[in-house]
Amino acid sequence: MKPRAEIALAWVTLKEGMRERAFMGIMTFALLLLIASGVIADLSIGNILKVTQDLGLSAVSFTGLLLAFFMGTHLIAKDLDKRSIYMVLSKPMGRGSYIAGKYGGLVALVGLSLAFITLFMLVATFYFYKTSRLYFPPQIAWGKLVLASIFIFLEASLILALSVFFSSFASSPLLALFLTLAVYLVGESTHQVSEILHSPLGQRTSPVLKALAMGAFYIFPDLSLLDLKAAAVHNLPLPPLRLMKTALYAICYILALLILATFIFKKREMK
Amino acid sequence: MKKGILTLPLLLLTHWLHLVLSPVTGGYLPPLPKKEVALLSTVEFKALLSDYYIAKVAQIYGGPGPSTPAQVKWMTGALALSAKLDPHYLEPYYFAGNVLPWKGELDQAISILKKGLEHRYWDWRIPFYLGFLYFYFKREPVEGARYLSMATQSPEAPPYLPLLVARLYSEKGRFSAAIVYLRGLHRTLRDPMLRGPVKKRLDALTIMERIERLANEYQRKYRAFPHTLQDLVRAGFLTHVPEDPYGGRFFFKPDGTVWTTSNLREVEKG
Repeated sequence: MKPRAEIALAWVTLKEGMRERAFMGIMTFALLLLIASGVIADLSIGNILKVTQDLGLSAVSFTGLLLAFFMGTHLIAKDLDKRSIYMVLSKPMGRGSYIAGKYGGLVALVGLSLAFITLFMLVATFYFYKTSRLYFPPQIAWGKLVLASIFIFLEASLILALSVFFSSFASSPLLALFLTLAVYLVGESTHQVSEILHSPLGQRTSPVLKALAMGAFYIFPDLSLLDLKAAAVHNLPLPPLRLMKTALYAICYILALLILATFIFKKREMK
Repeated sequence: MKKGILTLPLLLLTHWLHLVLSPVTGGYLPPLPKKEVALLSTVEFKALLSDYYIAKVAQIYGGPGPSTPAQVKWMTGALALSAKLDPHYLEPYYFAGNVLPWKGELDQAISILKKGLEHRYWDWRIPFYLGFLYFYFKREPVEGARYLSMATQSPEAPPYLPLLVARLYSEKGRFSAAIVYLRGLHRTLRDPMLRGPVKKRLDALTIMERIERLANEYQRKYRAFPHTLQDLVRAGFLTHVPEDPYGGRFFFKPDGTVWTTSNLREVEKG
C-alpha cells in the first residue's frame, strides 16, 4: 500500500468537491451570512460585538456542518452511482486506502473552506470592532476565536467520519445523511440530557429511559465538548491540557469510525 | 416571456396576502419555550436564540409608550431563558437588574441575578446590581451590604466603586441613593441606547430629590408642608414647576414625599 495513492485520491476528491454546485452554494451562503451579521448585530443592544462574534462563529460552524453532511455522503455516493469507484479500486489500491483517501480529500475540502470563512469572519469582526458605536469596545479574544474555529473543524471532521462510516454500508446517500444527522443531534444533546437527568426534573424520569440516555451518553460522540464558541466570545479560560484531551477524544473517535468503516466497506458487495 | 410577465401579478398577490394574513405591528411577542426544550432544540446555536430574545427585550424596552403587563411578563420570561441559554452573557443580567425591578418584577430579577453570580463570578456588576436591589427596593441594607462588598472585592471592580458604595450608604434619602447608583451605572454602559434610559431616570430622580429638599426648606421656613408644587413656585423656591422627563406630573404624597404620575415609566402621549 503506497501512501501516494491515498494522497492522489484525496487531491482528486478535493478538486471534485470544489467543482460541486452544492459546495459553491454553501460557501456563497456562508459569506452572505457573515456580511448580514453586521446588519443583524446592529439591531441588537448592549455589547453588539458579542452578537457579531456569535453570528460569525455560528456561520463558520454552520458552514462546517453543511459541508460535512452533504459533501461527505454525496461524494462517496457519486463514486458508487457513477461506478467510478471500480476505476479507482482497479488500480493497485485497497478499499481501506479508498476510505483513507476519500476521507483525507473531504477533510482537506472542509478545512480549506473553514479556514477561508474564518479569515473572512475575523476581518468582518475587526471591521465591526473598529466601526462600533460603543463607548468602551470590549476586548476581543482573537486567539480564542481562531481556536474555536479549529475545534469547529474538528467537529466537522468527526461528522465527516460519521458520514463516511454510514456511507460504507448504507444503501442510499439519503439514508447515510439521515443517520449522520441523527447521530449529530444525539451527540449535541447527550450532555444536556444527562444534566437534566441529574437535576430534580430527572427524579421523575423512568429508570429505563435514564439507562437509555446514559447509554447514549457513553456510545455517541459528545459534540458539545468541541463547542468552544461561548468560551471564545466571553473570553473564558481554556486550559491547554483540557483542550489537548478534547482534541485527542475527537481524533480517537474519528480513527475508530474510519477503521470500522474500512472493515465494513471491505465486506461490502459491489454490484 | 408572457409566462414571465404573468408571474408578476401573482407575486404581488402573494405579497398582499402575506401582509393581510400577518401584519407587521411590532407588538408581536415570540413564544417562550420551556427551558429544556430550548436547550435541546438549539443544539450548538444557543447563543443566537439568547441574542434574539435580548434584541426583542431591548426593542420593547426602548419602544415608545409604557410596557404593557403582558410585555413585562414576557420580558421576565425571555430574560430568564436568555440567561439559561447563554449564562455568560451580561445583557440578560443587566436588563434583569436595571429594568425588571422598576416594572414590579423584583423577585424574578433577584432570582436571575443570583444565577448569574454562579456563571459570571468574576464580574463585579452582578453583585453591584443585587446589592442595590436589596438596598433600595427590598430595604434590606445588611443583605445589600453583603453584595456590594462582594462587588468591591472583585478584582475587576473599577477603582471608584468603593467610594460609590460608601456614598450610597451615607445618603439619607432614597432618591439620593438611587442617584448615586444610577450615576455609577451610567459610567459602566457602553451602548448609547442603554445610556439614554438610565440618563432619563437619573434626570427624573435628580429633579425629585431637589423638590424634596426644597419642600423641607419650605417646611423649615413656613412651619407647614407645601401642598402642591405651585406652593414652592409661589414662595420663590422654584421658578417654575419642573417637567417629568417621562411625561408625567410631580406631586406630593400624603406623607410629604415626592412622586410622579408617570411612576417613572414612559407615559403614552395623546
